[in-house]
Amino acid sequence: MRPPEHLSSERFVSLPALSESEMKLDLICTVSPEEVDSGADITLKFCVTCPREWRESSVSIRNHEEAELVRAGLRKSGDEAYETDDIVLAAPRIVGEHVYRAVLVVTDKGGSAQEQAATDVRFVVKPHAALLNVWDLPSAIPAGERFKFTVGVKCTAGCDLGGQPLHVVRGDGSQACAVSLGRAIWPGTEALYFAEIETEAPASTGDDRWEVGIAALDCEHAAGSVSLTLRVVSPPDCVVTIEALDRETQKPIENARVVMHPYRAATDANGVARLRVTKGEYDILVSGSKYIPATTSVTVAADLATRAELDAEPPADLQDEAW
Amino acid sequence: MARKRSGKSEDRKETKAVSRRNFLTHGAVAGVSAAALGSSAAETSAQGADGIKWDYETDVLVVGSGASGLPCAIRARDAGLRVLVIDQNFDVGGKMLHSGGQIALGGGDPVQLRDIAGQGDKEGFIKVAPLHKPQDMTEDPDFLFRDITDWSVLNVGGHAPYRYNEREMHRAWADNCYGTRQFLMDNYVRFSRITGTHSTGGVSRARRAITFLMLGDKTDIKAGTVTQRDAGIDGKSSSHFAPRIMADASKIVGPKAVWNGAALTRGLEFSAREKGIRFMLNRRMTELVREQQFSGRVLGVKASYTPRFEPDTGARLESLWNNGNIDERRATIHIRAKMAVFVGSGGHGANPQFRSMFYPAFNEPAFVSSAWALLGPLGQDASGIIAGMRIGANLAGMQQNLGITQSFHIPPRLATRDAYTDMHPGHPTFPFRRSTGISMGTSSYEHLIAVNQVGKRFYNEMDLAKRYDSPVWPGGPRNGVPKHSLEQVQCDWRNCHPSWVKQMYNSYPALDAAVAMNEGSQAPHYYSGPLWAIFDKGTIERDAWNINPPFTADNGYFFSADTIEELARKIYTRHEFQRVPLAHLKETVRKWNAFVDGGADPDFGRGKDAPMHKIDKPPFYAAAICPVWHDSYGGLRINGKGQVLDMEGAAIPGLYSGGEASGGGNQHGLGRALVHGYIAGGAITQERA
Repeated sequence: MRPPEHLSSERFVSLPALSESEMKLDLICTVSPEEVDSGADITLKFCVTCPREWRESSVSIRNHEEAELVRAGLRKSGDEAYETDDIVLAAPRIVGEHVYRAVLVVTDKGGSAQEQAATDVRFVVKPHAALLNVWDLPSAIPAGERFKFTVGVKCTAGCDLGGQPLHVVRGDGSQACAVSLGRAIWPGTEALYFAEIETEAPASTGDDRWEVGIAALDCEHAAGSVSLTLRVVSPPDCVVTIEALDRETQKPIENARVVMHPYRAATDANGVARLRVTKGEYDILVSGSKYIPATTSVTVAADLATRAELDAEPPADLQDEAW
Repeated sequence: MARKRSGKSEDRKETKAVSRRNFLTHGAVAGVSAAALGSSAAETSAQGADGIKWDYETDVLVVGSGASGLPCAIRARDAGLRVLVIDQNFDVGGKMLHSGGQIALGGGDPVQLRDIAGQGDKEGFIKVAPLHKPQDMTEDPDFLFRDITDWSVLNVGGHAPYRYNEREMHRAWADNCYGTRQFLMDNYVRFSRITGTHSTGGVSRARRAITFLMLGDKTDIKAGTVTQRDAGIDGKSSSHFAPRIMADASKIVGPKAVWNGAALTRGLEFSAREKGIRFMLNRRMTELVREQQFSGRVLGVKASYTPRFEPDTGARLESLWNNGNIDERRATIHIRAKMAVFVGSGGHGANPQFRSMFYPAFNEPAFVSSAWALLGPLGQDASGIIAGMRIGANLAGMQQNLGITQSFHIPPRLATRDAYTDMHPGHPTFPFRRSTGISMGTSSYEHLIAVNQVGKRFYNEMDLAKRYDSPVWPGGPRNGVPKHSLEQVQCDWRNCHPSWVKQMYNSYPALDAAVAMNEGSQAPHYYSGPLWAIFDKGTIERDAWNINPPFTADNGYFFSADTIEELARKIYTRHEFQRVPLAHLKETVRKWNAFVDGGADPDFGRGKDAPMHKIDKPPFYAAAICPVWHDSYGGLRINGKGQVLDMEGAAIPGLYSGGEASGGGNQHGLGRALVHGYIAGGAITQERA
C-alpha cells in the first residue's frame, strides 16, 4: 500500500566519510505537511536502516543557525530498522521555504558518540489563509428591499479575527456596507468568526454577483474573499398559503420544507407556510421529516391556498431493514 | 495491505493476545476432564487413524452456533448423541442474534395452522387476532415447493430468485418446514401471528412469523419473559442479551411483547445448554480433517483459539451464559467427530477476496458484512466454505448473490462502519463500533450530498437507500408480480413476459455507482474507497438529526469542521481507509450550492422529487456511508439431507452443511438456515458412529 500523499516526501542526504567503518547510513525523513501555516504544527518522523547494534541513537534537529531545536531517540522498529516517534514542532512564523538539518547521532557499544548521517528537512511556511463562507442568504430577494445574510471567516490557524473589518462589494464594484466580524465564535465551531449583514438589494432584477472579503491582517495572514450571487426578483404580487398535513391522521406537519423555486419556506406549528411569489407557473415541493415528499404543479395568478397531504414513511419495524 | 494504516485494528490486538497466551499447554486444561464434560463430549488423547493427535472427541461437531448450527446441535442431542459446538466468537448465536427473528416457513406449518384456526399460543401471550384470512395461509408442502422453485417469477430488478434453486434441497426444505416450526416452538421459541412473507420466501401465501418475548420482571426463557433492560431501552441502550433493541410487537402479538432475533437465539441457546450440549467458544475451525484429502470420511477439524478483547480494558469478552462452556485456550487443537461434522460457519460477506468472485467492484475492504462488531473480524469470512473446498467439496449457487438486493446494499444509516444495524451501548461489542449511527428515513437523504473518496458526487442521493421488495406475499407490482395475493399463478409465463417486465422494472444502481472506480482508484485493486455524506448545521435544524454520542463518536466515521476545506482534511488524515485526499470536495459543494440556487441538478437529476438544500451553514459535517454485504448466496453444495457433495455429486461421508455456508438456494435469512440445521441434525442421527 502506498502511504498517503502528504506523507510521501522522502528525502535523504548522506554525509561523506562519517564513519570509521565506512558505513553510510540513509536517514529518511517524512514531513507532514510539506506546506504549513505559520506557527502551526509540523510533524517529522525519521527512520534509518542499519545492520549494526547501537547502544543509543538519536536524531538532532537543528535550524539554519545550527541551533538544536529538539532531539529524539530512535527505537528498533524491525530487523536492522530504527525509527523515531512522531516529532511535533511549531513551524517558524516567517513565511517562505525553510531548511532544517537532522543529524543522526549514534553511540556505539564502545560508548563513543558519532554523527553518522544527516538529511535536510525542507518545508514551506505559508501565511494563514482566511476562509470565508456565506449562509442564510435568501433564495430570492425582492428588488430594492432590505435583506440579511451571515458571513463567517475562519483563519486556517484558528487565529482570533474578532473585530476585523469586512468589505461587502456589489456587482458594480460599489461598497454595499461596512461591517466588522463579531467577537464571538459561531456556535458549534472552533474558531469561526461571523458577522450578520443587513443591506439593500439592487433596484434591478436578475442575478448580481457580490463579494465579501477580508484584508490581510499582517504578513502572517493572507487576504480572503468569497463571492455570492443574489437572485434579485420583482416584488412579489401573490401569497401562496400551503398547509402540510399527514394524509392518514390529518394532523398538521410542522417544519415541513416548502419549495417553489426560487422561493422557499418552512411550515409553522399549524403546518402552514406562506410564500410571497410573483405570478407564474410553479412546482410546489413539500417534504417533512419521516414523510415521503410530494410535488404538485400550480399556476399562480392570484393569492392561492393549497393543501399538501403527505404519506408517512413506512414504519421501521417489519421493513426490510430488520432482516 | 488494504487498510491505509494499521491504526487500532482489532485484528492486531487479537493476534497479540493469542501469542500472549501461547504458554497455555495441555496441562492448563487438565481440569476439563472427561467427567467434567459429562456425556456430551469427551477429551481424549486417542491417536487418529491419520496420525493426528485428537484433543477432544465427540459424536457430532457443529461448527458455528448460528441459525443452522443450533438446530442441528439440538436435534442431534435430542437423539442422545454427544454434541460439541464450536464458534469463533465469544458468544452463541452468530448473525442470528442480531437478526430480526423473522422466519418464513410455510407449506402448512403449525403457526399457519394455528392462525388459520383462529387460535392463540399455548401460553396465551398472543392477544391480537390473526392478521390474514385463512385462505391466505392455506397450502401444503407441494404448493410451497412449487413456489420456491418457480421459474417464472422475477424481482423488480429482473432477477429470478427461485428459478435456480436446487430442487432436491428445496423439496427437503419444503417438507421440513412443518417439523422445523414445531421443533423451534418445542425449544423455547415463541412465534407471533403470521404476517406476510419474508424476503424470497415465496410469492403465493403468507408464511412469516416473528420471534418474541414478553416484557417482565425478570428474564426467564422458560416463562417467556425478558426485562426491559435486557430487551433494551429505546434510543439508549442495548444489552448483552440483545445486541439490538427488541422492538414493540404489540401489533403482531399483543401488549408488552417485544421482538427480534434475541428471542429466537436465546431461546435456542437456553434449550441447547439445558439439554447438555457443550460449547467451545473463541474457537475457529481452520481445517476439515478427512481420511485422505479428496477421499474417505471426514474425521474432525483443526481449530484455533480466537478470543476477543475489550478494546479499552483488554479484558477477554465472555459469553452471556456459560453453563456447558469448555474454556479451552490452547492455540490449536484437533477435535474428532465420530459421526459427523456440520459446517454452519456462515457466509462470505466479510471476505473481500471471496465476494470479489461475485462482484469485483465490491472488493473495498472498508466495507464489511452485517453484524461486524458482534461477530468480529473472523465472522462471515467464508472459512467453512474454504475448508470444504480444500477437501474436494463442490460449490453451488455462485450466481445467486446477484439475484437479490439484500446481498449488497447501502443501509439507511450513517456514521458507523457497522451500518446494517443500530447497536447501542450495553452490548460487549459496542466498543468496536463506538457509534450507533445516524438512522435515516428515506426523506432524510434530501438533506445531504453523497461523495466518493475524491469528494465527487456519484448518484442521485434520494435513491441511495431505496430498495425494493423481493417477490413475496402478497405480490403485486412492488414485488415484481403481476397478480395480487390469491390471484397469483405459479409457473405462469406471464409472470416474466417482457411486457410485464418493462412495466415493473426498477433497478438499484446507486450501489453500483457507489463502488465504481473513480480518480482515486489505483492499480492493482482499484478500490472505490470510502463514501461520505456531507451536510451542515441546516440539516440538523431542518430534520432534527441526532448527531450526539452514542449515535456518532470520534471513531473516524464522523467529522465536523468550521469549513469544507477543514472537513476534507480531517477525513483524509483521520479515516482509516481514506487513501487519497478529497481533492474535489470544495468544488463539489460549491457546485451543489449553485444547483440549489438554480433549482435543478443537471448532474444527477435531483430537485424533481424532493427539495434541494444548500450546504453552507457551519459547522459542516461528514458521516461515513458504508455499503454492506449482508446475505451470502453461493457456498458448499448440499443435498436434501444436508450432506456436502463432492465434484462427482457424491456425498462426502461425515460432512454436513447448511445456512449461509451452503449454496444453491436464494431464500433469504433464517427460514433457510433453520430448516437446513433441522434437516442435517436429523440426518446425522442416521450416521453410523
